[in-house]
Amino acid sequence: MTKDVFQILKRCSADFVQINFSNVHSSKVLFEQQKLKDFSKVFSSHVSASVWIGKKHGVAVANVFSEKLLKKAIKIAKASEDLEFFYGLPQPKKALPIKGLYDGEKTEEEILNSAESMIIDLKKKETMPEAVLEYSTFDHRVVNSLGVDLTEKESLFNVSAECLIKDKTPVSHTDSYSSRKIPPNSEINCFSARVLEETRELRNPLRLTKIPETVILEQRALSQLLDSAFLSNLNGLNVLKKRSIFADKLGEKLFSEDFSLKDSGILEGGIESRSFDGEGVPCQENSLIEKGVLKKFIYDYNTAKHLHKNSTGNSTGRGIGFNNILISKGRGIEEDGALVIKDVIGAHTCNEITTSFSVKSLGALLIDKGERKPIKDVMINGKMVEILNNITGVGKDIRNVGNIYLPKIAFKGIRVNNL
Amino acid sequence: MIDIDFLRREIEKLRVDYWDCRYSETHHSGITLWNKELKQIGEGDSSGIGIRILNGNGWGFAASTRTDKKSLREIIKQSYRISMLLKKGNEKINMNNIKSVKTKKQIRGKRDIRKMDLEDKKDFLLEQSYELKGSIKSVYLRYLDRRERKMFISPLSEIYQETDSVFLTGGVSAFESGKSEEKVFRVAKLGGFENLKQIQGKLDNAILNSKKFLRATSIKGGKYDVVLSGELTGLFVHEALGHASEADAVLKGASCLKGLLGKKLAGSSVSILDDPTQDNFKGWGSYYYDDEGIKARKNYIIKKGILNSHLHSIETSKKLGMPLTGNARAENSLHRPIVRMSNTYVEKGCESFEEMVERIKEGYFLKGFKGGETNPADGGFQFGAADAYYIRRGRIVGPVRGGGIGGNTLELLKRIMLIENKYSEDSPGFCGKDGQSVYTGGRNPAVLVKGATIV
Repeated sequence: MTKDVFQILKRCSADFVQINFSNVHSSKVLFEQQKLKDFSKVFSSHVSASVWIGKKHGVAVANVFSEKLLKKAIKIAKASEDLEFFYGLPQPKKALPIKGLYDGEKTEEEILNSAESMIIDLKKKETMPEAVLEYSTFDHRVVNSLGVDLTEKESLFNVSAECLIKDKTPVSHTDSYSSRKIPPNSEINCFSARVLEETRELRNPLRLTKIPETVILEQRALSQLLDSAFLSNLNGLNVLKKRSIFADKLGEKLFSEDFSLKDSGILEGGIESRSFDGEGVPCQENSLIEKGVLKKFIYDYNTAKHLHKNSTGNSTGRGIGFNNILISKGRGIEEDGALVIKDVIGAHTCNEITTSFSVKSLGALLIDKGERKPIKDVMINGKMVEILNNITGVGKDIRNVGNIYLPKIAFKGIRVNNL
Repeated sequence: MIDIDFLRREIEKLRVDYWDCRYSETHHSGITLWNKELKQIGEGDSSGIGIRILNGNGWGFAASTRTDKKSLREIIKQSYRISMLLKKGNEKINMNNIKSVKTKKQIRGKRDIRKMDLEDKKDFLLEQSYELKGSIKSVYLRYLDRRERKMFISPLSEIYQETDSVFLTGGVSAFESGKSEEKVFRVAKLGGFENLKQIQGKLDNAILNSKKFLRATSIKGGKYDVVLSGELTGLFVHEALGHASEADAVLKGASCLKGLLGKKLAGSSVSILDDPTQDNFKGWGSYYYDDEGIKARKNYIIKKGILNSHLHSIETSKKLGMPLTGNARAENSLHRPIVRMSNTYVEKGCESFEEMVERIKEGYFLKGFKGGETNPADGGFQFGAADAYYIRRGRIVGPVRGGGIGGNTLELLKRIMLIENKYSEDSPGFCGKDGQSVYTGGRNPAVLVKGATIV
């Protein structure tokens, strides 16, 4: 296959060629009301061929690689217009393997056995409408006309569960967990039990009578706001296009000293770790914000060249994307008197350029003399750039929500309104 | 294509209770322009096959992008093994009354979109005229088209459907004195390129509105009487009511409509439908047969204020003992069909838009939509409006920034007081559920809602 691809590339009339291959085997088990509902297995292969003729770029995609696919990409490039800049493709470099990314192929019985451990004991009025377990394995390969040819195997495990308690005012809570390896059954069972426990904590919510000064965003809420209203400003392409609020603020202290953020493609077992990025550049760790000071943006090969920087290993193959986002843990949070927001709904309405957000809570608790009192949903609003400069405490424990690894954080300056 | 006879022979050797197979081939192209600069241009082809096998009450499903004979044997084997793993006790799902269908259906445009030059499509986008001046800082246009050929095969049926679709979305961003405003529009139709002729007007409107709203004051939250435009009504009936009416949500206890069939949920003037045949099969969510081979039909979810029906797949209709509605859809053959909406809408009423505005002492007109989220289990929802206007003493006074509507589905249904006497344009969308995305739409009238929560 390797020989075939390079022979075809040699015959290709384009100046530069990059081919991204991926094969995915995925299994999904679905439980409804704790009864096994569906089990499916899917294999899919995907090939993306990118060619450059001068500064003209064309992309064609298909399920299998062929000379015809390259010809189509060339035809598209010819119909295209000059890119604003194009400096070529990266030269081959050795990419060091990352540990903990692959857990091997699993049989149907093994997957079903893991999935069955999501079942837990429920009391009257408690239900688990849906629980899903997914396990996928991936083969990635990047080839380019300068000789890059890298392959990697990965796996991804994900569980999600929704619990519903049918009180007069029903309460529901959903959570998910993902990792590279399938955890032991006892841990999967603990995950379901934790979702139920957190749902129980939200029963019989009361209306908030006094607006607290401090709001603690738990990991699900904070990760959504970071993703929808903040992170795009650290993307080098947005900086180049002046679509980033931080475009000319490198080196400035913009946030609280307690706030540090890294992008890492090399985190052992990280959800978005890989030894090389979509262009075949070895992944690395990039410190983007250190103790509140803006230090760096993320780049692919060509954006970096244009800004006289080096690629940070963040190409997705067709753009720039984050690997794992790591937010530093702190010394803990003084919770008494604070409002805890577990999750939010409506993060898609955030403005990623002004970083403003106005979202509804999904699960709120008021900490009153050590007691966690459930609160009816509230609206919270503010600007990420302002609240990240108003941090009053950072949690000691890190958990991942997808590729964002973070603690819970306490803020001042988030406006809270009853609905 | 696949060898159908080979497939039938291989599956029938296993003596299963029922099976079906979906094969799909898709050709698509896409172009993105940013400030008249070409950002992305590409084409793609994909194909795949998915096979469901039923043994007793156990459904197996396996799928692949490979369709050679060896791969077909492997998929059949996997699907069969899964069906045996899921089979519990002696209970059987009765598939006897599924009708046999042998047909070919097409929804096509005037010109074959696969044969149109990408350059012609690009030139059409470049011809749209605008200037980046003053507060207008960026304009993007994103175009997608698709031809999908689908084949459904079961022991009884062979259904071929071919559908062309075109989709165009644009966005205008304006900045001034630290404020920003983005206005987005979209045009999407089943059929050909000729459906995109009217986009210049929509682009002009987005530019005008982005400037106008930049200088507007912010909306004040609270309880108000509001008029929701047809597009926002469409978002409400899709997200808040439609998802809760999907019978799989009802069966797993995750719907606020569970146990309410036959109950009065809204005023007698309110009827809400899901209809894949809307606009003579040209609605964005239209189809002739669903992905279980069931003929598309108009279904009243709410009829004259009373909850009339849920939306069903074969499995949910059998479990609940209710009629088939033809609502099982899959993103493509690599996904299992699940209960989905098509075109969802409120039946038009008697009032003109102006008459509805005249009834409001103080409130808002919320127009278009900017995303939304809902929890079908408890009926909670929050939707953003693209544009909002302040209404005072029966007149629209002017634009206000931000704005959306939040609350509970069952509460809001009761608060619909008046319904406009005409339908808006289609509200095309890509509806996501269980990791699958399908086209959904619907043409809706504006409605007047009493005491809605503005967020």
